[in-house]
Amino acid sequence: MGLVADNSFVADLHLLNPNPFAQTPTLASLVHDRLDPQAILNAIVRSVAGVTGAALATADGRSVAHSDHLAHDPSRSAMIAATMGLAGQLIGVVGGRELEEVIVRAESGIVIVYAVGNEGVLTVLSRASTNLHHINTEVRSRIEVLRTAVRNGR
Amino acid sequence: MSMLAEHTFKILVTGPFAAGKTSLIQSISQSPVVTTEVATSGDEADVKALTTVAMDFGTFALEGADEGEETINLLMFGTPGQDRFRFMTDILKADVDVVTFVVSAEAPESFEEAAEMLVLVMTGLEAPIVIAVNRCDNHDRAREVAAAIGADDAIQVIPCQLVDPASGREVIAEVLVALLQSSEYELMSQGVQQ
Repeated sequence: MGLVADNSFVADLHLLNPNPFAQTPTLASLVHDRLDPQAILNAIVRSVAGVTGAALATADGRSVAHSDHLAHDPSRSAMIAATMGLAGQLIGVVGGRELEEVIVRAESGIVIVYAVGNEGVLTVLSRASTNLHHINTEVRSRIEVLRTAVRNGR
Repeated sequence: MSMLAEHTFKILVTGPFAAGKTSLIQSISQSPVVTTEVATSGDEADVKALTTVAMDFGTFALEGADEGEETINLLMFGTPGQDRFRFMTDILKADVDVVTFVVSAEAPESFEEAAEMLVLVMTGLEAPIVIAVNRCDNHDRAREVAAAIGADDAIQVIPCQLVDPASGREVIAEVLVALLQSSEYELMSQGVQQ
């Protein structure tokens, strides 16, 4: 049992830090990284080639955390919240009720905004050539822990 | 055969957080209100549970009593109240015909911010303004609040209780008066008559 548990931690470790020569983390640091929103966002950035940044905010436009190398920008959180607010109404046109994501694409890159429950929004920035399916997979596997991070950050 | 004249005007409903902007639009709109309310976070959650993050939209039409009389359509665009959403006000205020500035008489702590907002909103606008002093039943008190946020005596001020649709309609009546007094409406009417 212990071996199985240890292996799952190692798998997670490789997601959080793909460098196999990195110092072995302690259990406490692993737990911290699993709950720390910035560590989660950094993991998303590292997991998919082409992703350049990720930011977490409340649904009403307050910043919660952002990945390394992404500037703190309160206006970005507000713009994202406004975008999601309008998109949440727009999906009614196709009979939708629960907004999942908004994609804004330009020649210079892509902005994907995911609903994190009703209380949060996750923004992922990527290059224009990035595989969106990979981003979706990485993000959706972390939605629940992100939801917890938003609640803790409110 | 009579010519039906129909005029459409854009009304900007703005003001500080929790002043009653969404309540105004919801209380009087004749079409389903498009609203972008989400759960409020942080210390703002102590004030109210939901807050607008992009815009509210509602409509109000005033049809002429007799055949051939003018119909006036008001398109009401409500802004978020927090400073972090100021960019939405800048977007929504384009081509506005009347500004309805909502402020709560029971929130004197918001007056300083409201005064700054009022200046920012009106910068670059020629449109008339109506100040709706919410949670207020008294004209003198409403005028005091308007003065506290920097509005001079020439600006129309109305006390109101925006949870009450009848009170909301009184605000709209003031908006219509402001429209009728505006030179733009006069010019449009003359154009129709010609």
